[in-house]
Amino acid sequence: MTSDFASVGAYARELAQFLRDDPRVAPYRGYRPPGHDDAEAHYLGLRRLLFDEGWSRYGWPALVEGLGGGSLFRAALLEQMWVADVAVPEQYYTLDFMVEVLLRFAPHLAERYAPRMLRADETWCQAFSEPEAGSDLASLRTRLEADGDDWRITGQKTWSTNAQNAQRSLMLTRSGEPGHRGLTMVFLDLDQAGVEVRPIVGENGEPLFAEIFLDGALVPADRVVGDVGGGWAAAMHILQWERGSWSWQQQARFHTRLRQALEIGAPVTPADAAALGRAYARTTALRLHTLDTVARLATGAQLGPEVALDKLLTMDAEVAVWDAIREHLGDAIDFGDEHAWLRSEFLFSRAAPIYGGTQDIQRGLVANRILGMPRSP
Amino acid sequence: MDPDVLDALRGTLRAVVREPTDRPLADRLDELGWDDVLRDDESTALRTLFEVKGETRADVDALGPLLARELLRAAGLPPEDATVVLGPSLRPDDASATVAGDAVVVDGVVLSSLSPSLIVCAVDAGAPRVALVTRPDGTATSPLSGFDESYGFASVTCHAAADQVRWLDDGTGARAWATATSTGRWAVAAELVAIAQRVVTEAVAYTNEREQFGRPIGTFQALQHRLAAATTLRVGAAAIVAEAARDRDPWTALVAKHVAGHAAERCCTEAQQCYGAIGYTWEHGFHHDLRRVYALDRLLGGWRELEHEIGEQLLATRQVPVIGVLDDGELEPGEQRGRAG
Repeated sequence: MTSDFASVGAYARELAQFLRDDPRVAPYRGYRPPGHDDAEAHYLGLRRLLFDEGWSRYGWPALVEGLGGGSLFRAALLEQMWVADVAVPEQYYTLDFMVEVLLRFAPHLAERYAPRMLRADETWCQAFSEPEAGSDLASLRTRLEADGDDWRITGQKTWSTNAQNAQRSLMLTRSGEPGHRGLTMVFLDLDQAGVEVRPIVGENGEPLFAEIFLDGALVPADRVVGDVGGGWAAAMHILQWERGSWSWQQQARFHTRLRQALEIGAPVTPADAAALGRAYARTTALRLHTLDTVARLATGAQLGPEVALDKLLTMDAEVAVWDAIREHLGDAIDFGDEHAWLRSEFLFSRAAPIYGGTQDIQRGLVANRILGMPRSP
Repeated sequence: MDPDVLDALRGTLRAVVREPTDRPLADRLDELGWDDVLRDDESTALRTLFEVKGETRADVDALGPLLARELLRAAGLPPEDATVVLGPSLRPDDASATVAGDAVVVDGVVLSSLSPSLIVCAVDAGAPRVALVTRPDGTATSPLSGFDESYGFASVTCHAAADQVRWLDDGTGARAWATATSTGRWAVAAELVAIAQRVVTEAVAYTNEREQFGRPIGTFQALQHRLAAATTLRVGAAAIVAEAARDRDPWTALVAKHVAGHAAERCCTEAQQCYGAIGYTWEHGFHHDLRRVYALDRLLGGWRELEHEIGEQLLATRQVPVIGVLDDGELEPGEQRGRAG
């Protein structure tokens, strides 16, 4: 099925106009959330509007009530939202990779649940990390055990972005032997007995993520995503989409934030120009490399360890951009309430080399899998 | 360009630049039907030529003829055998000549042997003026000592009388000079990125062989992370260079030259650390790459000054240009991949 736009460019142009001019978007343009959870609640309206008007349905198949067209439409949506300074709800990049993995490994779940998420009737989260399984993901211990035809989960997940606002979770569990072969992915209801979600407050003071405590939570038989024991393959499938769309929307955000910092204006210091030059160069490198990645994903290519480079380029750019913004704005960002939202984003940028796979792990992947250096013993 | 055609072209160019001959590269390319290749896909062909030059570290004169050809074409002049003279700093905005009454005094740097005609840039009352100078008798040229003496930098000085000087119209000349030096920037950037890639590949091979503490040093994360971080910069630079070759925008070329110089220096720094003391020896040969990288970085603007220039531009305009467009529509030949947003 194809969309009714002649090209992604045509879609992007009309969308840009809608985001810029439509009065219903006004509450979301330049919106500076007083807090993370307020933002998620506020964005429910935006997600509904973009679904009702069709914009967020492009790039998805009819099976999930999409309007067709390739995944580049989704990339265009993320970019145009940032260009218009309409902040992208976290669900939009979560949606990208969670719906992708359901479409591939559990189309019956995609058909039943994805439209609810697209419509903003539901919010989802991903739950992979555990207190004892961070970078070493394959060592995770949350147990998935058979209960008749169904399954039960017991254990603990952590660093799950937005879990405190979510009704469902894509969760990686251990169903068998140690190591990556004993993993199974499930699609879990969070609003049930046996599940407790506790938000974690980050260094910017915001509850961006949460712990999930599981005590015999029910997973009906049809909620296994892919094969029992096939969780690693599903997780790796997610990764390429996660890297691609996250990196792509981040470069769009960086362009907008750099522009906004310049518009706020400030006395220019000697360190300004070099820091801004570096930030711009890193952001452009990220943009053009990731443009190629999203284009390859749109052709159906299966990407491997090379997506670690997208992640590394994102980290380099995010740190450089916020260093430059802080240098440029000086005390205007360091003190006071007016630009507190920028200060919060600055603090978030300090996590760039950590979240979603640390810089050190990504560098190891590049060294071992791309450069061909031997693994450490 | 079709991937198979590109592979074939790359193979042919590798053989051509390695030919043991003193004949100019331009003549050897002519025999290949280079003009036809350029007509088919000039951006890819030129970028590939400079990548191959970097990858093979061949001492061939590719840049000199490219600058002259681009400048004459941008000025709407027929091709002729000409040599562009850069200012002593090798920056595009540096004058390579001064006006003395009706005459012109040339004092600059060339990248190749001298042609019968010299193209020079003077700065007159703050505006660049470009002239074609018929090479006068008594033109002095001498090789420049420096980081990389095999690249072919030479100084040139001469005094040309009024009847030996053809001035281009002010606007035309300035535009043509900017076009030629911008093209030069992304071409050199492509060469730098290719050198950077080979430098890391060779360092990886060394770390897989060399053993200390009873195991290959390549198993140490300290070295893995150095080379991976440098590779990240190189991959980002390659993406911008490819776009600069496509969009032919001076701004993209400036950014490309910056990131390529930065990435190449970083790749050399990390590779040298992997080699340890052996990499510092004359015999090892790594220094040839290191020297060339420093020489090419200076050419048409070093990465540190360009970083500053990019930032100054953002501060002056309060704008953040977006390079590259997300679209699935095919671009028409020659169509600009402009700046969105």
